[in-house]
Amino acid sequence: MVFSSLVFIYIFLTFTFILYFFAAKSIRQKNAVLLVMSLFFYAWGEPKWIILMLISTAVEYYGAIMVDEYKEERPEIAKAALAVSVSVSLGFLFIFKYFDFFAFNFNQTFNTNISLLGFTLPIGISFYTFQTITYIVDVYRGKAEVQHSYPRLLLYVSMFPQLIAGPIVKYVDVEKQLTARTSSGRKVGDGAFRFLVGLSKKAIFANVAGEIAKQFLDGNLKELSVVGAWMGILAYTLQIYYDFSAYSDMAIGLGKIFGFDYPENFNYPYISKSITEFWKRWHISLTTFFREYLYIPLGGNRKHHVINLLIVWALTGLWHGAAWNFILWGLYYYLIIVLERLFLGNVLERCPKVLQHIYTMFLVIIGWGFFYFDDMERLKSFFWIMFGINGNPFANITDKSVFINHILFFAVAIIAATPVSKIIRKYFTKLSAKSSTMSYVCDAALILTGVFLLFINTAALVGSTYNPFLYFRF
Amino acid sequence: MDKPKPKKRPLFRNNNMGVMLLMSFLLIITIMFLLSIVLPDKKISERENRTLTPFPKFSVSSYFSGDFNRQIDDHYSDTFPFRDFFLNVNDKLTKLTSQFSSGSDDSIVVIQTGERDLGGEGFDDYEKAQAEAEGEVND
Repeated sequence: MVFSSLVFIYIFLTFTFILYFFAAKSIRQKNAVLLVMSLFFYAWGEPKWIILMLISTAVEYYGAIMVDEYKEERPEIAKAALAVSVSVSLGFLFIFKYFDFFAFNFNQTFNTNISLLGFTLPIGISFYTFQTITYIVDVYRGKAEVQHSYPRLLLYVSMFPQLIAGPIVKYVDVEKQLTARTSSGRKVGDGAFRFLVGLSKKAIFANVAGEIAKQFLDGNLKELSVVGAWMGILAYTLQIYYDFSAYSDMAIGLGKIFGFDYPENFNYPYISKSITEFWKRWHISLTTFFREYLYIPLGGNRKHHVINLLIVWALTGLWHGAAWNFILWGLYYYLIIVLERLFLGNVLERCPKVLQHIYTMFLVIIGWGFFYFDDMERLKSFFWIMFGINGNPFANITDKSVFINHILFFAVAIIAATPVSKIIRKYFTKLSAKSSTMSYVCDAALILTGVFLLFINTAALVGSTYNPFLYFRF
Repeated sequence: MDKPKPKKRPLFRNNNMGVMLLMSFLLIITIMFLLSIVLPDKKISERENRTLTPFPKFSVSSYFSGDFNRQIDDHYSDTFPFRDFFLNVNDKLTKLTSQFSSGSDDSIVVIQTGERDLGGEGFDDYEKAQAEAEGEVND
């Protein structure tokens, strides 16, 4: 089930809200509602491999109990339990996501004949595997208490708002909220509003950008012009941001409605002034995971950090998909980040700000090129076209009409990706704080806006034929 | 340990108003859900000239392949209460944002924009675009 579907909003949420807010009285009952609904939600899209999530969680559950038991007296057993449980979870991820890719390339290189497994990727496996790892590692590190209730651990792993496309919530972030959480009307209202804003980012911005991108990038590349290539990849740049940050907004909003505080996942990535900064603003929960559970344990900045960075970036690329283009995409960022650390960062700082922004966005847009094309041949021709190398026309009539038709859309979408919303938010809260009457007027405006957004998004969803979530593949 | 992050102040200032947004949301989706049960399902859409997705027959194999659930998704959006009204709203909305993203009508729009852009482009491109567009329509 995806968040931007009518079944999710109009049936699933109806039942979940009514059961959660009216039927369930105690926190235990509320947790039970969330768990049952989350499992139902997951099984809707993944009826078979839901078993994998249950097993993976069970492995970490028992593993963590062993870690906790032996941590003090027999640390080597605790370490072994940690290693085994993490390996099992990563093993599942490897078998289902990467085995075929490695086997195929191994066969090609060494002329062997390893048979492929042909599994389709279980939804959300890349996300929940990392979540369970944060749990057991933090128990081992003494940062988190061991969880003695399997259903409660399963609730952490399977909570439907963040289960299938993040943010990757660390166990310590929600540990306390699993047993006691405070909620307020303000928080609930903010959650609902955030969800509706996210829904609009998805159903309106991401889907329109996606249509434009598809039109240029999925066709015959021989007919694509230089301008068309740039417009297509620019549209994709907007699409992937709106799509993914919309999903995070909806997840965070739904979390708030149920009293959970999930970490922010995006912080206006496209206003970055360097690639290093970009990766502090883009998919924050993933980079945090890699930093805390891989980079720092490897030695971080202290020893052989160039190699540590290489490992982290190769895996970041690979996490996004078992294909060469994702590895290239990761290594591309590795290269830039190392250069920025060596000297480029210093050079950049001396440049005018405009240049810093242009530099960053140029490289990010090129990066999305690597990300988009999983076919190496198409990837190559696309880059050739972008830089006018293989003699495609500079522009054609379609480009012009698409540009004119969408100039307003592009303008709004680009502006809305900047912190302009933050400024509006600031003025809004200031206005709302002026007097009690004013606060009611402002709150009423929020309610009306929310209802209006629900209305137009329903129309957009009823009318949409094209409505995938990009981060579903991961 | 992690230092506490500065929390964003909520947009809502009054608890009862915050609850009111969620309750309006819930009320709307509940009413629509009830309507979707009460109102008879249409079998055909005259507006789009096609048969709408029927409610799927349950079988173990269709459940585990995911087809059953997918068809429920399609059935529900095909028989959504006041569907034609929402489609009209969406058409207006797409005209506002763009003319290419409406899905099924794309190829026809190409011709219109071609005419409007004709300006100094010459007829070759225009005729080509038109031929392409017609080709798409014929598909």
